[in-house]
Amino acid sequence: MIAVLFIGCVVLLALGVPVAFSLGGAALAAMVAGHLPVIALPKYMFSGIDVFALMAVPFFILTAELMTGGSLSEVLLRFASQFVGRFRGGLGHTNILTLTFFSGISGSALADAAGPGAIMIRMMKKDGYHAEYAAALTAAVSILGPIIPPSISMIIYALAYPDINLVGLMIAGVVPGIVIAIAMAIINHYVSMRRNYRGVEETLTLRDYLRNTWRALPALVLPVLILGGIASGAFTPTEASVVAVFYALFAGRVVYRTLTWSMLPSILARSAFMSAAVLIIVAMSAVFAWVLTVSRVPQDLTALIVGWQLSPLAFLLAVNVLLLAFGIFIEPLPGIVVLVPILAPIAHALGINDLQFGIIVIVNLTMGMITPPVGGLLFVTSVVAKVPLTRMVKDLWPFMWAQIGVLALLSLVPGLCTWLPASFGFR
Amino acid sequence: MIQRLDAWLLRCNRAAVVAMLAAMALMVFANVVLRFTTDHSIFWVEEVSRYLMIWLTFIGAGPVLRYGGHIGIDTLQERYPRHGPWFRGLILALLVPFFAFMVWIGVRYAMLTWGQTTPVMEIPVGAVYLAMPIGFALLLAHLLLMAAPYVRTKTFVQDDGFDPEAVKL
Repeated sequence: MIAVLFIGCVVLLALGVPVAFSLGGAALAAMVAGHLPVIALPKYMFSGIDVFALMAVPFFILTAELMTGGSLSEVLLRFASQFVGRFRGGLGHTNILTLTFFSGISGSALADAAGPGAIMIRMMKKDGYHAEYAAALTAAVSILGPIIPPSISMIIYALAYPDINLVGLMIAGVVPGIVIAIAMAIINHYVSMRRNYRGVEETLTLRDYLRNTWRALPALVLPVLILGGIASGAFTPTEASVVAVFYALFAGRVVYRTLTWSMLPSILARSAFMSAAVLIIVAMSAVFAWVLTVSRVPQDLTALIVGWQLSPLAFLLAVNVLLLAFGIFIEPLPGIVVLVPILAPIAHALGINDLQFGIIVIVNLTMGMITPPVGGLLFVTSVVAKVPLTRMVKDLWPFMWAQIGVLALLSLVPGLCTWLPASFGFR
Repeated sequence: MIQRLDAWLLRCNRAAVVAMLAAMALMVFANVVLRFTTDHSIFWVEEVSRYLMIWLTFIGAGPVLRYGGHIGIDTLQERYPRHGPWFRGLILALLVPFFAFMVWIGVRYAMLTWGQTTPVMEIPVGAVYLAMPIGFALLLAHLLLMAAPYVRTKTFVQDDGFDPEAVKL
């Protein structure tokens, strides 16, 4: 039964069958092979998505779409530029800072790259940066989207491994996100020195600072509202997500006045379709996970690996290598729904902190989006920058090495992931 | 004739998901506002919005298929571009019976659960679960309507601004 499940799934995926139907089809084949009642298939499919907490997924998608529809990106960009624009490689630093802010609003990496990222790429090109470099930098920084809360990946992770606390996981993403942003800024600094990318030359008066900050304030409130609301316990993640939707609508319509009512239907349609594509995978993966559990794979594998008496660090190293390899071929979402139910219990049994492990898995799988050949972020940024993907790869390497370095740091120093949530009482 | 029917189907399908997402957002937001201002909340919102999300998932899956928005791994197809139509023909041959089976099992499950009622609204549970057979029937319809251009040249329908890449998180 297990052989049918895994071989079926791999064959279907390799053929190019959509992930949702590969998971469902393989689960169905395994159920037939194992003489399980097929009526369990709709039962577990529904139980997989009949979850109120999952509603944060469509709402956070909608928030990011509304914010991109408004002129939020330009406002954030000018705000970020006044702090870091004058340094060498200033526009690169502005890009990093803007996307870091935006990651506190959006829950996905693609929203970062396609929204503010696209604008930054065009600006960097105009300012004399190589198009390849602008595209590589934007792709590399966009992985912050699902790492800094809110995060769709984390919502799905908490469903795949219900023992974890979603609020704790979201708070745990903040420090690693900032560490990655700093690492990206260091690389940008060195590359800019070598290639002589200049800073932005403009003299700003105190008045300019105040005006830029005042303009950006309504947008900057949103990350504070989301993270602060969730961390303080004022909102559940689902409540925070719907408040964010209406705040984004208010900011776009009333404050910035760039959002028109006529734009709403297509924003809603786009968000609804994206949500359906995510949720159908969640539904099908619930059946897949049920077949796994019935055949006791996670339990047996946990017992086996714990029996090896691996040190937690050796296990983390193995997981990092496995996930990086996996991430090259598979997108983060299917990676989470298939691998987390198997790996997270093992990590827990080995005494690895759940939150630390969650962050490591999410960083790893999201990094898969910037590794060719199936890097979703690379496609977007290469199209915007109008450079072939193959020419971006050379400029991408320093960023990828820096991110691998951050991963090593996150594995070696659990405190980076656990300190902040612990101070809010999440372990 | 088929083309007009097709365009009509897509338009209705799109309008349905827009309405469902808007309704979900409005009612859940209303409940948050009520909880903060009056300490009361509308008791049926949690249940109804959950069921709307289930319907959104299944009803939305069909158009997503049309736009090429379901996440899949195309590495092998791209490696052997000349055999592309062969790959996609095989995918089609696998998906048609799978979708048909899901319609059948979905109808059976809805019938099986029709006698139970939901805790709050007290509507038949089976009515909620009809989302699955209807959704997969739509998937089947969309799959057959897109079959020829998809298998031959991997062409999808374009929608204003819906970027199929954007689904990858």
